[in-house]
Amino acid sequence: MTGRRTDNFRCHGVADRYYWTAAPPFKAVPMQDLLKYEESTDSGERSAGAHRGGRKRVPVSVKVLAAAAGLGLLLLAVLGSPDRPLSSSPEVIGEREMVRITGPSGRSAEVLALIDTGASASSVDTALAKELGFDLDSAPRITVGSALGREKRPVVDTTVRLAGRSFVAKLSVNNRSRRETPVLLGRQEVQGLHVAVGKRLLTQPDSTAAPSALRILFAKAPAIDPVSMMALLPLAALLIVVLRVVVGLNTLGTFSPVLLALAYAQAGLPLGVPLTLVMFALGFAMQPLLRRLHLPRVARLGVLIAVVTSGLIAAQLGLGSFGLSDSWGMSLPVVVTAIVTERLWEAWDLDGVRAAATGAALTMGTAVLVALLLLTPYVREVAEAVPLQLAVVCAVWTSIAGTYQGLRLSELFRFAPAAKRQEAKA
Amino acid sequence: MIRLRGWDPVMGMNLRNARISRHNSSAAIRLVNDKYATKKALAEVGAPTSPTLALLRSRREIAALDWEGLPDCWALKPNQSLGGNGILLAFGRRRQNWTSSSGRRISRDLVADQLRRILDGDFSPRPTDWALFEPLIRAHPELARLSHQGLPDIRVICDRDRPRLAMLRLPTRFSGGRANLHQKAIGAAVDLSTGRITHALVGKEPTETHPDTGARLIGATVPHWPEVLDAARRCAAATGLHYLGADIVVDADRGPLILEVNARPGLQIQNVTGHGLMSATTHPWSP
Repeated sequence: MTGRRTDNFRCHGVADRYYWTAAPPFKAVPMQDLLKYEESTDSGERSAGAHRGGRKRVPVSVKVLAAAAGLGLLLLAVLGSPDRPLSSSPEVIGEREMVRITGPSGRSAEVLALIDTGASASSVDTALAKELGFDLDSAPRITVGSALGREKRPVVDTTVRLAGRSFVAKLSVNNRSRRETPVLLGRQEVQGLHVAVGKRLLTQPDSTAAPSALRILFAKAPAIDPVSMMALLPLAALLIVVLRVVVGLNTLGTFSPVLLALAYAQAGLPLGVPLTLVMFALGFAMQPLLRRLHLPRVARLGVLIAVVTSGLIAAQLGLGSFGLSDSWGMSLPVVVTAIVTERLWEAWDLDGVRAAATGAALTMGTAVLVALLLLTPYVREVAEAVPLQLAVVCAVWTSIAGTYQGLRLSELFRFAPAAKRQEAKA
Repeated sequence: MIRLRGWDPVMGMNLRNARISRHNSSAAIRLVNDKYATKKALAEVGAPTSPTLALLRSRREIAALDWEGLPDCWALKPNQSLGGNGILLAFGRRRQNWTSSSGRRISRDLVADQLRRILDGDFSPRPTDWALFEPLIRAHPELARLSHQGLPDIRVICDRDRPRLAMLRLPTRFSGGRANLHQKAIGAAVDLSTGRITHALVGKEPTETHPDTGARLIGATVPHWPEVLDAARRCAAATGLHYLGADIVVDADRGPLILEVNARPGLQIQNVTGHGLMSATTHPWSP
């Protein structure tokens, strides 16, 4: 306590010194003079322009148009980025790849496959095999030895398409509903290919080019490896800076969308978005109770973290390990979710339901946008090939973007009344 | 193209932030975030502020508080809160307790609880805070007549000691007694030379009368206007801020009082007054 008190006095001391040395001394200028000046600046901008030594000011409208055009270009580049091969040679695939498997009736499905060079043979999920039209009862059976012991399984012949190659594979059929992927390809099936450890989703079934950002987001598969993630963080931060400074988006917590975006990139949108909403709702339901206990903010956040974590564990137990084990438990930013929930509650308290809902929607929307940017094939390639350079370039561009001092796009709505009345006066 | 020139004098967030970081020193910003220190600094240059009845810095001081010494009406404030959070007002005494504006009982336990929350930093950006008791400010009848409950205040944007734009903020039923514009309080443009209200907005809609009281706003005059401007002009010298927003209330008995000085004043005043801050703040001797 004493430490804090002296600290505070020192701070006053600094302020006092500042006042005595640097503050403009108060002079009793006659009120008439002040107001005379006021009238002369009423006509405002003309005199200001003249004063700047004839340098013509760029009209705000031009600046805003330029900002909007730049943003449009960026969005187009992200969404329209051409497919491109991520790996150095067409023989390289990741640990998890999308494959298309075709059944006897010609029906096919595009699913995520685990490439497991530690397994000799391959297997497919029972439900998927039935869906593709295989007659499992009359299929030949083989004895398979696995970590679970020896068992007899039906075996089916399928056409598998992986990274632009087609081959016929013998897949044993068993229940994989609680596994991470519905298909496992053993080393027999991937002969002649290199598996890049730690990389995922480098190819599509029909080509060696990486799938588009949108496809990965719906694939429920982690696609970013740790090294590229480090290089991509500054890029995500750059996007956030642009969205805040040029567009004027206000999210709940400055960089919380980036952490949410990483979670979405790892777990996919179909799982990520509902789970975020559930976590928000859970934290939200807890808030009034926590407030009634008159807990300090730190303790409130602590309890919220515990609540969010319990929700995650419950979801994991309920849904089984499928899709969750590898991704959500690890990647959902629990602390961020708790803090965002707390902010959401404060916004609701102060500014009403609409402001809070808008804040939450903007936060999640921004997260999806950031995830899309991070998963764009071109961006992934750059992050893998030149991670250091990417981070440095992002730092430079962020500082350049930060110097933008024009109007934010959202302010075109906010200050429309002021602009209209200035217009009328001119 | 010609029609879009009206945007040129409008100041955006980006430019405001750049201007603040250029003109307002961090020591001055730290000073105005501390209400108690600000009041001392203002008093030194002869600017009118509300006196401090009691300052509580630790839980031990709550136990030692002289309850009987408190007046019938007071305002309890966190020293560093933002946006008027954590304020408790007593409007009268009933035996051991006080009453709120709506006549509800404010027990000592409630006050002590509020004090503890303030000291724990519940309403402040810092982890701990101090609590201040001040005499309750009652709005001047001329302003109370225009307002619906709450305390109307005048925001004056100053470039050093020069007032640039001024507006009167009037609480409405919707704003719940708060004078915050984004909570639908009324913002009324005040003419700097006369103190007369020229224009008023609720949200984004112009209005001529107060929606709750029906009082006519346009043409009404802020009482003690020269003293209000004089108080605003002393803020720069007292705090060291070069670009500031002074929040001034007019008390029924004591006249204009500076409630607080903002180092980062909002931009909504542009919509209220219909004046861009660029035209109002660029002048020959501005760096």
